[in-house]
Amino acid sequence: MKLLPIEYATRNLGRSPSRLILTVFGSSLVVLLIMIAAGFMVGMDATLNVSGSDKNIMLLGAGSLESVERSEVKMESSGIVSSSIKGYKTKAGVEGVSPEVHIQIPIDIQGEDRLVLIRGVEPEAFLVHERVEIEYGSLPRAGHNELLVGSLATRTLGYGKPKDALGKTILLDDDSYAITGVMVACGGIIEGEIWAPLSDLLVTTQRDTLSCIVVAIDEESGGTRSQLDGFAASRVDLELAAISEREYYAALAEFYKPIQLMVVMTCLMIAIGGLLGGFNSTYAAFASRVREVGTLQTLGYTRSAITFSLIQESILTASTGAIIASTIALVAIDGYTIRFSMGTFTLLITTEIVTLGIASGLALGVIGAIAPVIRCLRLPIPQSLRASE
Amino acid sequence: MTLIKCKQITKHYYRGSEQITPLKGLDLEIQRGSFVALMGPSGSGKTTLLNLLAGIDTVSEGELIIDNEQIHNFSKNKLASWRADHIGYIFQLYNLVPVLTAYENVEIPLLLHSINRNERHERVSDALENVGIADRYNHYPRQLSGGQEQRVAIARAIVSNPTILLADEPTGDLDRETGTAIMDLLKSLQEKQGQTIVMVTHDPQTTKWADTVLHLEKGQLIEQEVRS
Amino acid sequence: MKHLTLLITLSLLVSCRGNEEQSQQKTTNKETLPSHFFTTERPVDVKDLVDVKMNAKAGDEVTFLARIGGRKHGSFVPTLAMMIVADPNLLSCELMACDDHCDTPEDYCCEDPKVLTQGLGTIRFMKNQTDTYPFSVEGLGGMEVLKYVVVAGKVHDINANGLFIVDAKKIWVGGAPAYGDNRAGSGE
Ligand SMILES: Nc1ncnc2c1ncn2[C@@H]1O[C@H](COP(=O)(O)OP(=O)(O)OP(=O)(O)O)[C@@H](O)[C@H]1O
Ligand SMILES: [Mg+2]
Repeated sequence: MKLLPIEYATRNLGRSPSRLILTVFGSSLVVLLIMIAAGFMVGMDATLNVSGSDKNIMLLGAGSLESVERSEVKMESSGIVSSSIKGYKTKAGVEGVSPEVHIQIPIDIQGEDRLVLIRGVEPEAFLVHERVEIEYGSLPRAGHNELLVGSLATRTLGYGKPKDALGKTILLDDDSYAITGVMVACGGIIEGEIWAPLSDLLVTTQRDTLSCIVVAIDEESGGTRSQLDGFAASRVDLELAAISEREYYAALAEFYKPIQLMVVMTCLMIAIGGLLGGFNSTYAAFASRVREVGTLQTLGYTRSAITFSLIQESILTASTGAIIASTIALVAIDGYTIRFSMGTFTLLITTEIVTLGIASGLALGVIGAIAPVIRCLRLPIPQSLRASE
Repeated sequence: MTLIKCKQITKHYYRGSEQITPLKGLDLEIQRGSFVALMGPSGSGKTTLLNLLAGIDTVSEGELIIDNEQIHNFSKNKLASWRADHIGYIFQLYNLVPVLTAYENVEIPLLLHSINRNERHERVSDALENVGIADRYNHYPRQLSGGQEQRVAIARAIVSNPTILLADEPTGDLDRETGTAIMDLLKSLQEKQGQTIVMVTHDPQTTKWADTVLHLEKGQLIEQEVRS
Repeated sequence: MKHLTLLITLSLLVSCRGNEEQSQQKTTNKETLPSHFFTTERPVDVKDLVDVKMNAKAGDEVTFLARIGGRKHGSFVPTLAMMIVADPNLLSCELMACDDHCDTPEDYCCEDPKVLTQGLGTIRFMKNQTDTYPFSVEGLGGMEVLKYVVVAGKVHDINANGLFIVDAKKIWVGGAPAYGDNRAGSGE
């Protein structure tokens, strides 16, 4: 099959700049929204998936399995847990039983109250949550109102770069705290949190209960999940229930499903608008070329060759849109943080998503060309030659 | 020598259930190297006949033999490549591709042949030279006048050395002076290169360049006048 | 907007159905307790759990009436022969017809947590002096949440905060009560 020169396709793009802009805009909108929806899902899943470990069992208030922030655990439970169960991690005298308080506190950021999850922790927390690492600065000292801030939380707090947070002070319930360190946790949900020494946070919030006790079981020394289930069931006086971190975050992910669905549906609906707009202008761009296509056929070009050229043209437009969308996605969307009451998520534009975006751009090009191609080639040549321009 | 032979050609169209027959049992022979003018009232079937000769339409009944090939038996794809090899078509409204320059418009038919770039360049330049528009090779159709556009269109039609040059009212949209120049150009192609030309025209004046004038009426040949 | 609401409702329905399937699967169990744990003859004149718990000490032999349940999830421990029972006077969700805001019928979320804790007990089925059987007893001998049981056994541990662990020797399994008839199935 002899094909039309590529210049025919590229020059045709410039034929009607306003239509071209409309089509490129439409396809970039569609591709961008596809990428945002995918990035949102990937980002949220990534955060929730890396957050939960099977080896970390959370002991929560018996009635609050679904929300650690509503959970209340008696202060003395922590000691009872570490003395009555065996088989948890220990390291240099630190036991893998981490008493924690999880609490949402509104923090005033440039006049706007933003809810941030604050976790009150003891040194045990760093053994239990082994992925937490100090990226900048140092650990907060108990009794000094110092804070460790997750790298994502630094954005929530309005610092341009995570490092900028060091040395800054913020108010928690009228108590002033200084940021001494920034932590990372392999992209886990902890990166959206702020950690404070447990005792300081209890004083600030005037609380006398824990939210949970996280036990890092050590299977090698006989630690089991069922031991903790048994402990929770036999110590009814402590009003505890056991759930693995993984299960907890899986349930949280389940809770976010409708939100995910809503985001995806919203993106989809706007995308359909863009799609129809794009298709419409592609159609209009081709519709006026019936006679020209008839002429090319008269010269000896086959219908397949012409179809190929028209699809080429449509793909060029759509993939230009896809490239614009990918650029916007990588520059402006990647890493964009979204805050929900239960955590901060990042929109992640991965290579897979860029590939998806480009692929959908190409698909849009092909699909968008179908109707106009049919329109241009439907008529027998003599009739298309009689078509008005 | 007979180049084109129409045997009992009939063409039907269907508009809903209504059958239209612009050509009814037409018999015709056209000699190689002749310049034929097709005359006749509107709706007499001139364009229909020209389209059949061009291989962009197919006969309903009868046989159409061009250069010893039975065109009426060809498939759509075979017809397409046959057109590329044998037909040059000149339209009343030029039908140049607006996004391509004069040069590129003329080059388009050559891309259907396996010719290298250099030879292509030579042939496009020759064709443009031939129609007297070589200096405008870099212009886009919108930058040309009607007469110039038609010259480019003629260059496009002759660039692949077609067996037949077909023209549907080539001067219909031009003023008399420009029309005359175009007719002179066609005549010179016939005279210098022995090009066979079949041209539809409404204008009795233009028939003076032709050596054969065919009169069609209601789909039938009613008069054939050969001038020497 | 209508569509969105509809979709969200649909997805919620789907996720609810997912939960039901999960809890149904739990009842399949191959391992079983020795038959000496079960009896079909209900002891007569048994006291309710709280009345026994009030005066018990570790090592006492006790017999009391209770209902299986007390936690909205995990009244049966998934991998141990251990379950939580509640005093018959405590009202579980299904007896209060307040299911809308309860996750499971065996939830006692409408009770004061302090009162609830005082009314709960842990029943263990011991393989020997130190070990509990290593499987769930849910479904064994008809034991299911909400059903009445009469437990005879020995107090393993008890404290004033509500701890009450009883190692079962014999257990009678009755039926489940219904809304408006709180003692149905208790065998009284
Ligand atoms: N595709 C078609 N479908 C239906 N009817 C057609 C078709 N093409 C041509 N006709 C009819 O066939 C008849 C002859 O048409 P044709 O175009 O050949 O006339 P013509 O001699 O070229 O006329 P004109 O001088 O006006 O160009 C006309 O009645 C026309 O309406
Ligand atoms: Mg005509």
